[in-house]
Amino acid sequence: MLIYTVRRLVSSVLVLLVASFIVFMFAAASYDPLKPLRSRNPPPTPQSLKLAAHQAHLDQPVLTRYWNWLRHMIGWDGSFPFLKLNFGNDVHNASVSHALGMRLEVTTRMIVGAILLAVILAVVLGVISGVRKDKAFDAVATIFTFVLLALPTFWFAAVLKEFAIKINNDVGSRVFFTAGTQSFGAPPPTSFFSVNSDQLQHILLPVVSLGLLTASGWIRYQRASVIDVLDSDYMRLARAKGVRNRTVIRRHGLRNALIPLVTVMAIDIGALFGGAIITEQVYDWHGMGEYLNTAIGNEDTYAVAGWVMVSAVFVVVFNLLADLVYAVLDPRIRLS
Amino acid sequence: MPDSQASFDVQTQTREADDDVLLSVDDLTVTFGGEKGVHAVRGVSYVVRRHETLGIVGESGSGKSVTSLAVMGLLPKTARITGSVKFRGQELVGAKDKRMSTIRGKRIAMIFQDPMTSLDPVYKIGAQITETLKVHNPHMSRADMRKRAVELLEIVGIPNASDRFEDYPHQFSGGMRQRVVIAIAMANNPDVIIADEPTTALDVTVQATVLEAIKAAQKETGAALVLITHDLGVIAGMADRVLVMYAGRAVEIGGIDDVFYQPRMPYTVGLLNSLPRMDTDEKTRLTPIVGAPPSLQNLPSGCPFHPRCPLAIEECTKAEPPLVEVDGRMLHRAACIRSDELRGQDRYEAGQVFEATSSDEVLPADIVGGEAQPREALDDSSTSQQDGTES
Amino acid sequence: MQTAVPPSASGEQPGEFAGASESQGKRAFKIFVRSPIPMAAMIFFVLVVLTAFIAPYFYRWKFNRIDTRKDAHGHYIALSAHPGQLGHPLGTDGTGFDLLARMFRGTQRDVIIVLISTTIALAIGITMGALAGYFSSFVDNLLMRFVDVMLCVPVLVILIIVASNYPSLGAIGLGLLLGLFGWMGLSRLVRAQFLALKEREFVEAAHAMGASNFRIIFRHLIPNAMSTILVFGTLFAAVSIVAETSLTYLGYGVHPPDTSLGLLISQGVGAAETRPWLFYYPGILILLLVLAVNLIGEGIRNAFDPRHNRVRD
Repeated sequence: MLIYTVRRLVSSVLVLLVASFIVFMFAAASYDPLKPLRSRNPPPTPQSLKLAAHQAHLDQPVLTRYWNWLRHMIGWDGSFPFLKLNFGNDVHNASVSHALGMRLEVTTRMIVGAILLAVILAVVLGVISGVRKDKAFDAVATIFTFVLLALPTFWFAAVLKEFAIKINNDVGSRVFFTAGTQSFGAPPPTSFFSVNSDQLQHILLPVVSLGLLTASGWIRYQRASVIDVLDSDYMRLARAKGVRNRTVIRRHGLRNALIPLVTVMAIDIGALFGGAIITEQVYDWHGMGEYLNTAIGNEDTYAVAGWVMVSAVFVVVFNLLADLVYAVLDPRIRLS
Repeated sequence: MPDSQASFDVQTQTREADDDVLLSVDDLTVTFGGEKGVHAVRGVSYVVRRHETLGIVGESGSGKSVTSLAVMGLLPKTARITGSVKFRGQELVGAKDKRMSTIRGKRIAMIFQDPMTSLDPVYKIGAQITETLKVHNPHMSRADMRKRAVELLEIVGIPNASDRFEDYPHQFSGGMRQRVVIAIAMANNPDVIIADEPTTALDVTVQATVLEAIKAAQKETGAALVLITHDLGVIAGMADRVLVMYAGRAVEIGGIDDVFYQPRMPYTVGLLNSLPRMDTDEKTRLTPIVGAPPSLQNLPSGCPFHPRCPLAIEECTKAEPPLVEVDGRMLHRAACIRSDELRGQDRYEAGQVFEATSSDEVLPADIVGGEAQPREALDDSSTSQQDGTES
Repeated sequence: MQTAVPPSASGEQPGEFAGASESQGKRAFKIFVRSPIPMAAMIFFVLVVLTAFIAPYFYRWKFNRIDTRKDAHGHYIALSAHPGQLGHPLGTDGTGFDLLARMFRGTQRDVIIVLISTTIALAIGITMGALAGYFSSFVDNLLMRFVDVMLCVPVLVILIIVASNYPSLGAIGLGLLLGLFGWMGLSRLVRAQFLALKEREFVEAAHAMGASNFRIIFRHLIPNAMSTILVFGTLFAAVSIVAETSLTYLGYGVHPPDTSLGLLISQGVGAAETRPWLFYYPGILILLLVLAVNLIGEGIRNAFDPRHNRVRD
């Protein structure tokens, strides 16, 4: 188990390293952080342009810039072994990692909420439809999931928002909160895990819209894997031992049927991150998505590169978690 | 073997006592799908008595596995089951899951065909054995369950049993896994063990040792054994009585010596003559049964074996023959209207009828173009017969 | 004594080595044609696409023509035609563009995007997967690590960043982009299939008969991986439609004066309360199109499912 974990960890770090190189090179080649400055009227003096270029490290060769960026990012600047995750400064000379840290917290709340909702839906609906294959419940769940699967992310989010607004208007009071992470003037959250009813009300719609869309594929997948497992010989042997059908499904069926779902969840984390960007925009959340949009608009090399690295680390970490869960569930992986 | 056979005959013929019968299957039918569904089992009856071994033999698709799954109540809900299965007089067909659970694993245990998929890959071997102990003995202590499980593993011949207790199925070979399945089956000293093709999925080299393990389990528990196989060699070595199935029906049943030496159903004759002959030095040719088993969705009229039967006559196409006593022996029954013609012949004499249809020249043509000669003749006669009755 | 009962010679024996997959394909096709829901989805999809390409020739409004008639008061009448008003069956937007004409045009553009992206994704995915799965070792390692790197950044983000460098990206460019960054999943699937298939007897037999690698890949392996490829192709087509709407919504996809279904609903979001038809009609059309494509994919998957002809003994 330990060797397995270490091996996964090492390969993840290598992948991230290669990704960081590609990302930085791409961002450095395609963005011109001085563009907003140059298009100013009256045009800035050559000196101030030079100063800005120096501030943005544009006067150095690109490989040196990458190395300095990487060095600060992984803490190879004296702070080792403490990772500072310093992604450099953006065009306004503000720390990228500080801004991203706050925004990642906002986005992670939404994603974690959506994952929880999607997992619960996938397991509950997937197992019931798998066990009651071709019965009424299964038929309804299948129609439901196929429709969800076909919905464009932001359209669904916007439709939910419209309905929420309509209900609010009809009731005459704010039942649903359709914009922002919290009410204006409310105290900011003290930590990631602190929740109050105001935040919960705000997070409800984004989590529902992102979670339902994510769940749609997972429900189908869980159903198929439950059907596979129910058909397997070990389920029959367990019943032949004298274990009650219900217990067999719970004890032998569920755990085996969860194994494939975990791998699919890992693959879908990236898609979830993309979906979160769109959902944030619909519900006016000041999260990762907004930052990326602004950074691209500003042609901000360090901000974009830092952003992509954060998203890559996020995906890799969740993949690693999924791999570990996978190994816990399946001894064949753990022990080989 | 002859000794036990003799004592068995004496015992059963002297008293047909009911308390000796553990399992009685009566006119069992199993159908999958709707009206035009697959009739997998069509009226099978047999009894299993205390301590005896009943062999069930047949080709794949003959319904032998479905029969035993129906007995255990393990068929999917889409299967329609009629008839009766009684365990010590207790009806099992239509029994609720709760009641069946008290019988499965405790009274009747089962060994499945494929050991590679029979064990749950995510639980330890030990846990899978103690699961069956725990279900039926809720008050057994953990230590006792572990002790019993290790003991079971030792009986079926797993070395270092107490170490392997903590292993997962994927760390075991196929033969070893089947021993674990056998250990699970014998855990609660059942009255009947049903072994459904226990060696089919295994290498030939480990088949014998797994059969030894089954024998050990039977000896230890004193259970009756229902051994389902398509391997007549296995039946010959282990069974007291044998039931031959074809197209979802029992076509011959009797003591092992009766069936093996004086088969009275042409299908059994054919099966036995496709075995190599060991009792003579002269080189003999193996004689196969030509053709393939019929589709269970579309059975031929009359005796389902008639398209492949060298003895088939017009009358065979009319009605499905019942299972009747042959040679005047009460316990030997066959489903063939012409079984009298085989009277007094041993299997080799009887087997000569197959030589005619399965000569080397005919064989390839038969496979490609369907049964050429006898079948067409039959079809013609049957159609003309039908015409006659209609007009 | 030995095993006695001869194995039944049931089922059709493959005549030639590759014949197995061909007859499998034919059988799958027959099953597909006979399954009602996927066929209905197929017919619906084909009808919508044909209508989108043919109907504009017979329709009085063009997608880029503003209705400039004036009413009795001298105002431009078309600024807010409700569905059914003034000869606009589905109404107009705030500028006077006919919604139905724009939906025809949008569907056309989406079909082009899907065709381009799916073709490219299939071509690259199959090639990469085949190289990795068939030649193994070095190529395999290189390709799979590359795929690992590509998959660690959310695809939508890659698309956004690349698309942001090409502000004038049209439908064709978008299709290219979606295809160029959409093949990774397929290459993994094809690789896994090839790894399993190349151990099979018919491939060894083809080797023994002196068939070239090229021939083995194209005549034996790809036909056997066809179900995977077809199912991926349909699912990818569905994903492409949704991805187009997402990218366009974020401002990196199709831009006016051209239009696409994604752009239509993006523009409709702002008018969801004042002109709900602009928001709901194109959205429902996308929903139905993607639903149809997914159902077709499900039908193909079922048609190839070996469980269809499994019989219990």
